[in-house]
Amino acid sequence: MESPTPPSTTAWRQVDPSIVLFWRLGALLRSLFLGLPFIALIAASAAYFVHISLAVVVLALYALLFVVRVFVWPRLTYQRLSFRVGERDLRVASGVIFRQETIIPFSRIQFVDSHQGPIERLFSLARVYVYTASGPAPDGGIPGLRSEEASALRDELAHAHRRDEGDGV
Amino acid sequence: MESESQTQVEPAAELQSTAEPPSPQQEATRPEPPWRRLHPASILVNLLPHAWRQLRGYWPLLIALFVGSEVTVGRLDLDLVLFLFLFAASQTLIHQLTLRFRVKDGKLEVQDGLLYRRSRILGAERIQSASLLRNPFHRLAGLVEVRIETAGDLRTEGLLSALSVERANELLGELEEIRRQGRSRDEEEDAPPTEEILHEVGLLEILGHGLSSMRAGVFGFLVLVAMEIARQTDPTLAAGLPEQAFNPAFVVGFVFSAFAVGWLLALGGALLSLFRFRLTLQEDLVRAEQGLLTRRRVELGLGRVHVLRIDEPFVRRRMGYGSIFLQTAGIAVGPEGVRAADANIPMIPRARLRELCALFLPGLSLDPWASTRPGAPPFSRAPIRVLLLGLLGASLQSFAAGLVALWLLGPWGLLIACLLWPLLLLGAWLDWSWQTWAVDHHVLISRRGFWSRQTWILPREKVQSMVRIQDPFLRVLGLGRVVVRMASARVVLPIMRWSDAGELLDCAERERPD
Repeated sequence: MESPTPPSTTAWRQVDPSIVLFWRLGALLRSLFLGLPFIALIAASAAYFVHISLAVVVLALYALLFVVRVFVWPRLTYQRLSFRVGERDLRVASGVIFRQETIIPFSRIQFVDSHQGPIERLFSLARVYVYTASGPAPDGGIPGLRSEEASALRDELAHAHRRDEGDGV
Repeated sequence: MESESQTQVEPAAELQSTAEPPSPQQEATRPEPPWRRLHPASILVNLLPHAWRQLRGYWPLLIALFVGSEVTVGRLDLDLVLFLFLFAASQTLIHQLTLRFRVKDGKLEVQDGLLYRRSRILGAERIQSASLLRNPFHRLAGLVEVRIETAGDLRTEGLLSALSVERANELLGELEEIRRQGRSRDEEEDAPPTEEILHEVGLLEILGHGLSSMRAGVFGFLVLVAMEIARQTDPTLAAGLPEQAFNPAFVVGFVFSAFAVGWLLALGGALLSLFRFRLTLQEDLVRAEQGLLTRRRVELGLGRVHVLRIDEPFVRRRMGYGSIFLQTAGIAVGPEGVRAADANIPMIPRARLRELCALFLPGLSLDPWASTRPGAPPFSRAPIRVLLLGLLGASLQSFAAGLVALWLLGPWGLLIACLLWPLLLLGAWLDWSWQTWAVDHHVLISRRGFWSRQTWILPREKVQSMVRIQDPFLRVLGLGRVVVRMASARVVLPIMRWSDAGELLDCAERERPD
């Protein structure tokens, strides 16, 4: 059977906007259940061993960090995340502070994984990871795709061996 | 703990088909291949090995619990071990219940996971090798683990962890049949090929290699470990540490001792690993044999070289030698044994480096030693902003070292810091001068360092992916880094302009040369 010819596009695509809410929810849960007890302990120690004002400073800093992590950071991350399926390669751009752009030629793709956690399933979201022969870690990852889009992208990349049907190595 | 035996399974007999290829309508109505699962006994077969791997991963914690001098084994410690074992058991159960696989349209599909579901599609043509493993538990149950190796990936281990022998052979037969359809066969039997000796290393070269591979840091590390062990086992030893540890004469003596012991360790290591080193060429197969106590033989196909690195540390360079390090995509198991992934060829006369590089990379068209002037065309040099960055880094390093020296040695420390600063600045300038890179239709070359000079030659057709990275500081300066990912290796290029990094990324999408 002929492999389906993937649509040719050079436009950068953004992931689904609902990933922002997913990230915010994750940050909120982590901040409440992991960060808050830890910070409360530090603030209590500061108040007991040093001065109450230091505890206030610690709590104020954490509150600022909380606002950034839950409300600002997911939006910035979403704006900086995009991908492009070109004629011969996949490009993924990401990162807010440490920006990076990854290029993966189709002929080098060894396999493609899609992952979907339980909360992602609630949002109908999934992640796609692309692996080459470079090692056990994925060369590129795209979170925040709709489930059907993730499956379509995964299948598209898995079939996108252009000129070379060799072992990709 | 495991006694594993690897067997290469003979593929199923090639299917003889004289039927017409199926029509699209027939393709559409062809039933989906069924999903298959692990053998039910996989839970028992995998439980102990998996639990052992889990516990082994926590060895520092276990040592702290059971070996520490002031801790006795208590209920909490045993509960922790029991928790880890139960965690491993639950993972084994989930693995058995959720994993399913099938071969569809020439690709192996594997799905597993309960909360985090994973779905993988693996093209048969991407498979480097496939093997069967049987540990004692497998043998007792009549099962086998199928390991599918793709280049540079280790994560297929333990995936198809327990299949019956018949099912495993059936799976490998299907995959082999698909791969065979894309391969050409050469059945000619030639006369035994002759072997050509490319390079041999004598005792003097081995000693030179050791002298130019100083490991001063090892001594310091060993001293620190010994001191910590002594403190744990006998705290009175720590109390007896003499005050003259902070005496300048003691510090100078310690530094010289560290260098001397480091050299001795390097000499010993070189003798053990490089004794009777010999590099031979037989047709397109390169063999490297070496070792005093353990004899190691590495075989590399000439077309399999992914990374070629030339090491020219300052002392070795002055001696007139360099070393070549070859790396391939992974490991293959063949009739003659295991072909390891890399080879280190030591102490090559610099006049022969070019010849051997051209042998291992036939497409090499750029000459890394074409010009003694670093950065001369076609090589590019990092912009002056990178030099300023290096000088700033060197200044910060000398400032930090000066603070430590001042605290430890007083005014003597200040003097050491004042002498260190210009040396570090000189080192930064030399490093910047020799940072170059070049790219043409066949290869990508990167060179870094003056004291420990390394040159990477990467065949462009073997590049797996490339990343350009920019932290906030580099963003202000308009600079960035490029990381080239090869099979089982990552090469970081010198810092360059962000626009130059983008142009290099475009190279990755251009395929192998015509």
